[in-house]
Amino acid sequence: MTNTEKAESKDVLGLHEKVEELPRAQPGDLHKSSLEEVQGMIDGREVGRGELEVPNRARRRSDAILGAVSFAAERFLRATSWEESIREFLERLGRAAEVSRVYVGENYRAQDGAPLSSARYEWAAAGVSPQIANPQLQGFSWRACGMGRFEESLRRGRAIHGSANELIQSERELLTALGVRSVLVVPIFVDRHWWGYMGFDECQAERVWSDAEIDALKAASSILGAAIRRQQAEKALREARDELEQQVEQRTAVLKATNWELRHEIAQRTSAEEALRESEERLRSMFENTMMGLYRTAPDGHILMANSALLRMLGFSSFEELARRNLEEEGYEPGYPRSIFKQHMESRGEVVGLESAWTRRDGTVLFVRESARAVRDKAGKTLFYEGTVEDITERRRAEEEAQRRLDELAHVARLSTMGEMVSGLAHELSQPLAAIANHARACRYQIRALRGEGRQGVLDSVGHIAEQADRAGQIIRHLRTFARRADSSRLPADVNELIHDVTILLEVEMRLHDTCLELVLNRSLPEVTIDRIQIEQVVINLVRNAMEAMEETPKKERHVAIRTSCVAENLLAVAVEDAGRGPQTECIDRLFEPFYTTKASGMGLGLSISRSIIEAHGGRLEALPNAERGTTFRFTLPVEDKGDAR
Amino acid sequence: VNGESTIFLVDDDPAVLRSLTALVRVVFPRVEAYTSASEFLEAYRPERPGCLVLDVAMPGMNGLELQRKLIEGKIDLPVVFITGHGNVQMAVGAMQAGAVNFLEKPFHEQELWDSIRKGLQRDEENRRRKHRRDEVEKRIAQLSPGERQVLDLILDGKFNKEIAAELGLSIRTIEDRRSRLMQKMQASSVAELVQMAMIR
Repeated sequence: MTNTEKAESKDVLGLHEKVEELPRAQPGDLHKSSLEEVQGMIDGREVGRGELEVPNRARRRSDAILGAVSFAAERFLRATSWEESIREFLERLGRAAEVSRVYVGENYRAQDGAPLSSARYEWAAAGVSPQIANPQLQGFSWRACGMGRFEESLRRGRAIHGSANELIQSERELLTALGVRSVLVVPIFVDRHWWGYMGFDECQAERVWSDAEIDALKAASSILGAAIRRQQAEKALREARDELEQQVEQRTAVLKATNWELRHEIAQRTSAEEALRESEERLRSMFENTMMGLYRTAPDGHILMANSALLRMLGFSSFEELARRNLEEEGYEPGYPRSIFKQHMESRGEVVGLESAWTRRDGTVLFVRESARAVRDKAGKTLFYEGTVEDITERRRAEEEAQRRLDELAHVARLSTMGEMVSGLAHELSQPLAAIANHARACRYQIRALRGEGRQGVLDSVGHIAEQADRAGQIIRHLRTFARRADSSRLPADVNELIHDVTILLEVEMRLHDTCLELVLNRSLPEVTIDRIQIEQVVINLVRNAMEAMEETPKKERHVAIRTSCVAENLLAVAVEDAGRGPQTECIDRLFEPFYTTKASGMGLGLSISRSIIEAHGGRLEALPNAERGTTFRFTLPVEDKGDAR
Repeated sequence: VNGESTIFLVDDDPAVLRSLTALVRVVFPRVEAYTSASEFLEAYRPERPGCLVLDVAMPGMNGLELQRKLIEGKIDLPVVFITGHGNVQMAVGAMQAGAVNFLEKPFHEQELWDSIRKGLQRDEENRRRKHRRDEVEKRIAQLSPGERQVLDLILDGKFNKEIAAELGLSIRTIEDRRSRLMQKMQASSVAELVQMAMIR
């Protein structure tokens, strides 16, 4: 016990002053203070202290130790982590101090809060067994392994050293197990907190540690503590900075998000504006590119707007040119004055589908169909008219053409009718005239056989009767020949096409009669050489007859079918079927006689003329009662022109 | 002109028919008028001599059709056509079928009378020829088969000797048959016999 007491006191005393010398590091002044401290220690070393035993050797060692400490200081200063350089430091230190082992251990707390220590780094001289992997030195408790005195000193900041024989039993046992003959351990303080320990082992011989060696080791531990502290501070700083950065980043992210939202909003607003612009452009484009004419005019006749379609229709190259017109003065064709438009507008507030005729730039007529409305202010005063215009000139022309053709056909029909009438009349008249002439002649011969006064006078008179009757007959005969001569040019034609054309002409009449038309056309009909207008007239006559025959038929059943077919190699047929009541069977034969009619109106010449026309073409026209009801009128036409078929 | 002959008129128009009748009667006393072809066909007997005056255009059976009907019925009655508005085709057709004339109105009454007269002459000839033919037939019918054989060989231009050799009979027998045959046929010479045979 005495030995232990002695050694302890000695060690404690020896180290106490040095511990007191440990600088009080100030937060935020880490590097500087540590470095100054080290530097101060190195510069102001007291060389004389280790000169008692082997002064030169001890001094050399101390210098070498300080050289190692200096190296470490420099390294620790530059390196980002003290652990990078610790091994090299320990080795230099070990070689400089000429010890068996140099080591560093760290304190920590177990989960239950008990203080524990573990060896972290070690250097061992050649031939000395390293103890870094010794489980005894990992997670050990100084107190528990009988090193309580050591812990006590170290905690207080004191170095502790001694040789095995100087130590108490428990300490000696442990150190002997580790092969240690002499030991020197100094604490490592980090920011006034006992962080760990650093120590020298001497395994060769017992050794007395010089003050210089002790100081040098204390300097080394101090440097290491400073380095650890620095690193901890740096880490804290880095963490703080990271946190800051993270915060900044978060803030930035929020800002970014806000920014993005803003941009998005801006973009949306822009695209909305664009959409608006686009829709305006579309409207403008529609206004400009539509086929329909669009305009805006003032009630006083000024033209306020007109799109290019309307300009085109009217033959103007620019709006300005058109705008020179005042509609009150020009622009409307006679017969279609603007007053009609305004009347409609004033009485109904709008104009729907008004057909009108305007004057083009070149003076020609533009037929239009227009719809317009009046735009008024709150007081109800008309600001302007807004309207759409459709060019119906083509349609009008087509209608006029159809009308013209119908008129032409009607004219031909009238001519034919007249011809037929003359023909019929001539026949009817020639008979009695012939009879008159015959009788007159017979009289003359009978009178000649008589005798008596005045015989000659009677004979002369009767002779005149006969002559005049003959003359009348001649005139009628001429008339008849003339009427028959209406035989116009014949050209090859497609009968199906002809029927198509005719149905177009008859469309309106069919509608008026609520009659539905069916075409059953044989597509492989040969061409026939015909007087097209005459055959058209026959078809029209037959279809009209069919429609008239169905006047008492319920509207839904009014049905006309036109069929074409090939009845023989050189003969085609056209049949017009109706669903009417049909004539009495005994009347069918008489249908074609001139002046025979079942209708209140009409002369009864239609069928007679039609038959004449068809027969003049070498065909036949006949009427056949249908199986169910109605009548079929069927005519044939020879494919080859038979020439004089009369 | 045979006073027995009748002029048959057919026209659908009664007024015209009456006037025609009057005109024809000026020259030909016997006139019968019909208003349709079928009416005429029903009334007419082929043994009645005369001439037919026909209107071409008539409802029902027209004039040309009636002409065809007569030819089909082997009735050899001469026809004169009258037409209001005929054409060349019609006329040619009618003439080829044996019409006497094809008169187009208005015709001169003389033309009509001449045509009718011509028709009657032709009818008379027809009837005379027919009468003679009938007579010859009647005489031939009286011959015995032997006489008939000899007649045929005589008409072939053979002499008695040749006929006797052909029939394997004596010349005497042939001469007997020949004189009987000539008697029955009322022929005075071979030339007369041949004439009769040709009528037939």
